[in-house]
Order: sequence, then C-alpha cells, then structure tokens
Amino acid sequence: MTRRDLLSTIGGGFGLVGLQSVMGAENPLTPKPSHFAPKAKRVIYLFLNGGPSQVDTFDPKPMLTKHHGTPMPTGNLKTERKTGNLLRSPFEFKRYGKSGIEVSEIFPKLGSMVDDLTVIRSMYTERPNHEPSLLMLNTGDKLVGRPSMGSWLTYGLGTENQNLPGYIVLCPGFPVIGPQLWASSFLPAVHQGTYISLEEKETKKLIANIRNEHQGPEQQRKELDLLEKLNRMHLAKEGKDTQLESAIQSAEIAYRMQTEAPDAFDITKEPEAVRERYGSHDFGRGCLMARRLIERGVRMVQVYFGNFQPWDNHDDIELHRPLAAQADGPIASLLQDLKASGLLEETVVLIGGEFGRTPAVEVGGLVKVQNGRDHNNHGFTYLVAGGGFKKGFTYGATDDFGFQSVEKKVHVHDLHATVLNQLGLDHTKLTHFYSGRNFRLTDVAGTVVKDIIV
Amino acid sequence: MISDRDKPADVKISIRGDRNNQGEIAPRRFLAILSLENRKPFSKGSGREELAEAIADPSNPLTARVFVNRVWQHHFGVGIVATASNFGQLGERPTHPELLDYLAGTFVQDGWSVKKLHREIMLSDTYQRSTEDSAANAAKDGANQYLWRFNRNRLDVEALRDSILFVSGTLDTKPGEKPLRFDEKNYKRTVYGFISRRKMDGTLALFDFPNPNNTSESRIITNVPLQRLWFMNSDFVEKQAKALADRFSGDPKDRITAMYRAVFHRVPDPTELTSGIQYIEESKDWASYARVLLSSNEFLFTD
Repeated sequence: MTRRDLLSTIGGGFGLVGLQSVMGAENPLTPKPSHFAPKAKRVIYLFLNGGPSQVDTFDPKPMLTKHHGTPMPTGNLKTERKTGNLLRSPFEFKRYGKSGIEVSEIFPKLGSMVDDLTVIRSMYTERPNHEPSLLMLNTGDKLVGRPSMGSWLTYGLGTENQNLPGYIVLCPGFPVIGPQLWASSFLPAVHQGTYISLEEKETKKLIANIRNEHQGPEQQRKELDLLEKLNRMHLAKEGKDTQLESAIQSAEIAYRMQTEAPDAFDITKEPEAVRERYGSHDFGRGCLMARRLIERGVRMVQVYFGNFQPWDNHDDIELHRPLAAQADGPIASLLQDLKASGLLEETVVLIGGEFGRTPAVEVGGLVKVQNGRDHNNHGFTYLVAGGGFKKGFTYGATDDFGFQSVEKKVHVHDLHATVLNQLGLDHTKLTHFYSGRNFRLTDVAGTVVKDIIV
Repeated sequence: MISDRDKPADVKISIRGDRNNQGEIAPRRFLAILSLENRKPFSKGSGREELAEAIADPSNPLTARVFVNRVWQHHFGVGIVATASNFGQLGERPTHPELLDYLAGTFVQDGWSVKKLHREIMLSDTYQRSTEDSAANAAKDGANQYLWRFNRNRLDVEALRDSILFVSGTLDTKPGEKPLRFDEKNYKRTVYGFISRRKMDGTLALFDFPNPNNTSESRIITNVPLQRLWFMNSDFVEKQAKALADRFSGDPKDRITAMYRAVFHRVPDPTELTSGIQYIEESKDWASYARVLLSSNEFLFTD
C-alpha cells in the first residue's frame, strides 16, 4: 500500500479541514480568528538598534540650530550620562513628497516614501538605558520575563504558513540582550521567535536541521514512508488519538518544509536589479528576506540593523551618516515593493530603535570626541507604514529642542496597543494566565492612538 | 554553602519589581496570608532558618500538599490540583482532595521521603493502568479526570534525549560534574547539562524546555514540524541511529527483533517484521531503519 493510500484509508482521508482540526489540537500555530475584523495581517519590525537620534533624522529643530552651543534654557533632563550645551544637527532637512514632511538629508530614499508614512514624533519610555528600553519596545516591560510582541501575535493569531516559523528574527550577530528580546517567556515555547543569523550567507545553513547531509531526498522519502506505515499500525492498535495523528501529520509538513523554507530565505532567486536596490549590507539582505517571508504568510518578521548597537553614537553624531546610508535604500525598497504588490495595505511596518538621543552634546568622560549624543528616553520618533496607518502624516511633537515629548505623547504601550488593534486584537483581551493573574503585552496600560489610523 | 552577613538588613519593596521604584521597608517575616494576626519579625540573623522552619512546620499542610501534587503531576501529566503553582482562589479545585491529603500526610509521616512517595504512587493500580481507550468510560469522563486510564504523554526533552542515548547504548551513566553544553561530546543525562539563561540550547527549546528566566509550573507540550526536522536531519539523531544499528548483528530477522526489544521492550509482530526486512533488503541502510524506530510515536509517547 502506498503512503497516499494509507492516508486515505486508515486516516479516513484528511481533507484540509480534517488536517487543520487534527493539527489544531496540538499545534498552537494554526490560524485563529482575531477579536474583530483586522486591517492588517502581518508585521515587519525594522529595529535600528542602539538608538537613532530624532533631531538628526525625522524631527527637525530650527531652534536647536539657533541656540547651538548654549545651555538648554529649561535645563537638561536626566539621561544615562552627563550632557552639556545644545548641539545642532550637522545634517540638512528637506521637505519631501506631497505631504512636505521634513526628513534629514541622510535618508533621501526613505524621504521619497514619506507620503506613505506616519511619523510619530512624540514617543517616550521610562529608562535611558539600552536593556530596559529594548525590553520595553519588544516585550512591553522593562524587566526580563515577558513574551515579545511577535510571540503574542502568533499566540493570538497563529500563522498562515505552516511550512515556515510564524515569528522570525533576523540579525547580523546579536542585538544587546539578544534572545530575551524574542522570547516567548511564559507563553508556550512554540511562540518564541526563530532567530536567523544574517552573518550566515549560505541559505541552507540558515535554518537548523533543514536538510539531511547524509541522505538523498528519495531515500528520505522511503524512510518517512516506513515511519508513517509503522506509526499508522501503532495508531490502529491504540485507537483514535489526536496527539499521535498530529505527530504523523507534522512529519509530512516537515518533509515539505525542507524545500519551501530555504526557498523563502534564498534572495539569490530575486532579480539582480532587485538585489542591487536592497544592497549587499546584511541589513539590506535582511529586509529583502523579510519581504519574501511576509509574502509567504509569516506573521511577524523582525530585522535588527546590526550586531550589538550600531546606532549608539555617543562620540560623534556624524557616524549616523554612514549608518543611514546602509539603512535608507533597503527600507525604502522594502516599502516600495510591498506597496507595488499591495501587501503594504495589510502589513504594519514599524521602523525605530529603543529610544532617541539628546539634543545636548554628551560630555561624560567616556567620549573621545565631543560631538555625539547621549541616550534619550524622554522623546524620540517612530515611523509606521502600511496596515491601515495614516499616510504622509505627522503626529505629536517634542519641545523646541527635541529633548522631550510634549504634545500628544505616545508611550510604547500605546504603540503596541495600536499595532495589535490593526491586527484585529484588543490589547486588553489578548491575555495569558500565569502566576496567578492574566498578563498582556501592554501590562496594565496602553491606549489605541485612534488619530494615527485610518 | 550559604552564609549570612554579619548584620543582615531589611530591604525596601521594589514596586512591580523595579529597583528604581522603591516602596516601604519590608521587615523579614513570614507571609501575612499564612500567619496569625500577631505576626512577628524574624529575630535570628537573616531569618532564613526561621523561614525554612515555618515552611516545613508539620502543622503547615500547604508545603506537603504542593510537593506531593508536583510529584503526582510528573507521573500523570496533570496534578490532582491541575494548577500546580496556584492552590488559591484563582486555581483549580483538586479532583481528589482526600487523596491529596492522604499523600501529603503520609509524606510528612515518612520523614519527607521522596523515594517512598514515588513508591506509594507507582505501586497503585491507577499508575499501572494502560492508555487503552474505553467508549463507555470516555462517554462519562472524556477528559479522564478520574484516571480510568493512563494519560498518553509525549516524553519531555530530558526523557527523550536520555532514552535515545540509552537505547543506542551510548548513555554515559556517571553523574555529571561540571555542567556540559549539549554538543557532540556530551553523552551524559540531560539533567546534568548546561542551561544558559541568556541563550537556551536549540534542542531543549525545540522540545518545550521552559524559559529559565521564568518559573514554570508544568511543561507545555507541543507537536510541531520543526521537531520532526530534528528527528529527520539532526546530527544527534543521525549519530545515535548509527550507534543503535551497530549495537546488534545477525540476520535481519534477529537484528530487527533485538532492536525492537531495545527500543520498545517487545518483539515485532509479523507485519512489522516483514516491513523491516523488506526495507533493509531494498535500502541496505540499518542506520536509516534505526532512525525510523527512534522517530516513531511508540518511542516518543508513553502508553
């Protein structure tokens, strides 16, 4: 009897519905309905780790230029290190698109996409240190031990493509803290982010155990056929059992994954011209992979800009220029491609870091050149595109110098609540009972920012 | 070895776990909810010993109940109280309250002997039941709350890895000394392995090992395709399958029978034997055959 005969006779003929119900019993990743009709289905989170400076990128401050070299009139706010006088941005700002939103000269390509962006200029969080702020943006809490946003999303919604992980994290090397940022924590382990190192250039080595080094596909097929035959005989002896059936189905899916999963990560399948637009830098490769993964129904893809914390320019803010040069093209290309395919409408693209930087120069003893900026949790900018967010729209404001959010302030919890809302999830109802109470991504706070969504 | 400071001091509450947000001083003493009204601060040094005494006080039934429930949960997959970390208002009620108290009481009387507790549970008729289905019982108690049969449980990652090493004849049974990473040189039991809080081992995470930064009251068990890829393609399973295949020799019938005895503790039935012989004749690949047995549901689940 062939494998397919066995499937149709012993298994009672698994149609798609039957398969889903069997898998659903034990595979928490099968798609689940949202709380209400969603605007978006997927999330791409481009994380510029280290903390990009708002006043040098998307939050122009003429007063900062005017008062350059003088003390901040209202005094400097407490940040991680000692800061001194105000430091103007070395970069020019220019108006882009129909909206005329001003963007720094170091992001010309992203500037040309500004009519597709919501620019939130009033973000804030609690701590001027990398670790708590990285955790806050990723897990909604300053301390280690909460599930990440991607984990909450696959927990709440499952994922559309069972041949790929539902939540994928791409990074050249590791950001500060590393795996805690994509941990499922107290949610089932199946919801943790699947980390892929962008330093590995060979596609087939990107995913663990994705191919057999010692056996050809034909021999493997025969081996799996024998396994299934023995498992079916075992099942017939044991009687109906969803756990056993689900393990049998999982093997079939795994067999298909071996070809489909590497294909999704294989950017050499893209035309030369496309690869050129994304560039050969690791972040660019990550953005292109993110596009291919989202096209295949992965729920959330996160791309970290680089190893450790590249945007952490305490010494010299001029270093933002080469960093932006590596980020600008890939982000703009990703947005253009998603827009062209129509996927941008149903994909939320988040762009930002763990906090911003001070408009005042850093003068702590740790810096060699005094032309840089300290961490700033009091005010920073986030860009959001697609997924039903407004287009060519700025929201909120920092003070005249860009130090602190003062107008229509948006906390990280508010941003999370809004993203979940676009995916059809009520952030107060997406909960998990743990340690005696219900937990959620937004802790006990968060308000959906209605003014930034359509 | 634990030693106290010369002058132990009370610390302030970190509100919501945040040391930058401190509240009032919290004197060292036992929990209010489990104490009488005149609760006194601990007076001997750090108070660690007094805390231990209060927890293990024979008149405090909670500790023994919680403990025996955890052991029960390890054996049956579900505790008598299904929420092992929550015996309070928000937790589940015990399915067998008298049994829980009996086991807790016996446990204390037997000098808190875990070994005797295991023996008590494992010698019971309930523990020794098979997973065999019964339509009549299923109609009355589909969730098997009353344990008319044994619950079918997937092996947890420790039992899975240890069992694969054991049946392949490669398990190093000497207790571990220094924790070892799970690399190709590590043949010790999984319990002796190195657990990193920063970066968890991939195989452990794949088979639902809990995040070491959180408390975890029980294993969450999943069955996902990535786990099957591990069986199909990992170096670990490849190596152990070879070792299992090389453990036995003789004609195919004897060799297959010996492998069935080692892996499943039974002899193959005629159909299984024929399938095996046929597979070997075609493929000549004993390691591949051994991997099939190690990847099978009969091996992965307890019946």
